[in-house]
Amino acid sequence: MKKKICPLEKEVMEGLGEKELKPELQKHISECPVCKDVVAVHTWMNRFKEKAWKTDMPKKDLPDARAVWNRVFARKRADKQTVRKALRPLLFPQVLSFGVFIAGGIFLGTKGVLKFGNIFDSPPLTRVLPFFLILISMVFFSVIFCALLLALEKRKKPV
Amino acid sequence: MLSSLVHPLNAALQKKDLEENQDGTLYMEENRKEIWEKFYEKYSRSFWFYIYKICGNEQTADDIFQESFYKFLKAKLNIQNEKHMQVYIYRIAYRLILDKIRRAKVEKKAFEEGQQAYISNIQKEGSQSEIHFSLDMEKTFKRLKPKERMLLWLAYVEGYNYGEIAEMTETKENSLKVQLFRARGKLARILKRQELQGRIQS
Repeated sequence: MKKKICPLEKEVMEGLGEKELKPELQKHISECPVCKDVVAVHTWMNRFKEKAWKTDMPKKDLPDARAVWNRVFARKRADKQTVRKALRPLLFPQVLSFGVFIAGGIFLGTKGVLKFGNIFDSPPLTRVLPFFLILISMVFFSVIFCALLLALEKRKKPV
Repeated sequence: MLSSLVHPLNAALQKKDLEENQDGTLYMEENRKEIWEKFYEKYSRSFWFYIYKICGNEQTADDIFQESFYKFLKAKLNIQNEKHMQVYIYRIAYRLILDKIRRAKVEKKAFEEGQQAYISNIQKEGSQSEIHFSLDMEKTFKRLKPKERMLLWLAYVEGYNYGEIAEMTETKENSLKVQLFRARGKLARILKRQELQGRIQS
């Protein structure tokens, strides 16, 4: 099987970074096909990088750290506003669910849910309605609350 | 506070990294901000250059550069050291580069555009032989696939080890060694052929 990795590859790479290669490394490179390729490719790649850097980079103006920072922040704020706008239509169902929840609670309180005798004497619709209302309002409440977590802003402590 | 009680994930993610004050100004722990600025000053140019060489197009490189830092700062990274930050940002760039290349399929177009810009840059400053030499090197480099270029650049120009490159390219180390071996072999064969052709012509 052809050798893919040479255990001395790392030493060869480190040696290439120095001015001159050690004689034992040079001898190894002449004998090892993997290290021959490593040397050829390493030398060529670095020469390519040097030439290209001299041509391309002097005229390239990159923004400074502060400018990048501000852009990232502005974009993040824009993203948050987009999310808030997208969640606005959910406000009405949220208010409705709270209302249903409160109405159900008041209904139960006034009708005296704990007095089971009264509830079983009532017509079927009135018996079922409070529980149905509570169930629906709980489902609404859970779904909308989870959706609102995206739009909730944390209270920030100033620096 | 309420959201962190109800949503455990929120509590786990409460790392003060990039947040907003009441008055809209940006908040970040001072030492992290310093780390970020030093990191940017030190690595931004070589990072941009790496993206440019892989993509072959200045505009694409600018987009990916900006997007990488956006994702990097947004990620609320738990900074361990400089190397960790380097690996992370190169990993972001790797994904963005592959996305760009897959979507746009601009390899040929980007090379032609890049080549024109490159020629005009060199013509202003270099001699005729230098133009040919630099163009040849560009052509040679472009004969490799984008992933091959990335691997060779990270290994032989930036000097990262197998473990770091594997993390950046989201590959297993053993697979990476095979891929790098193949990429290196391919470039070595191209260079040998060119050397042979050069000798025959001379």
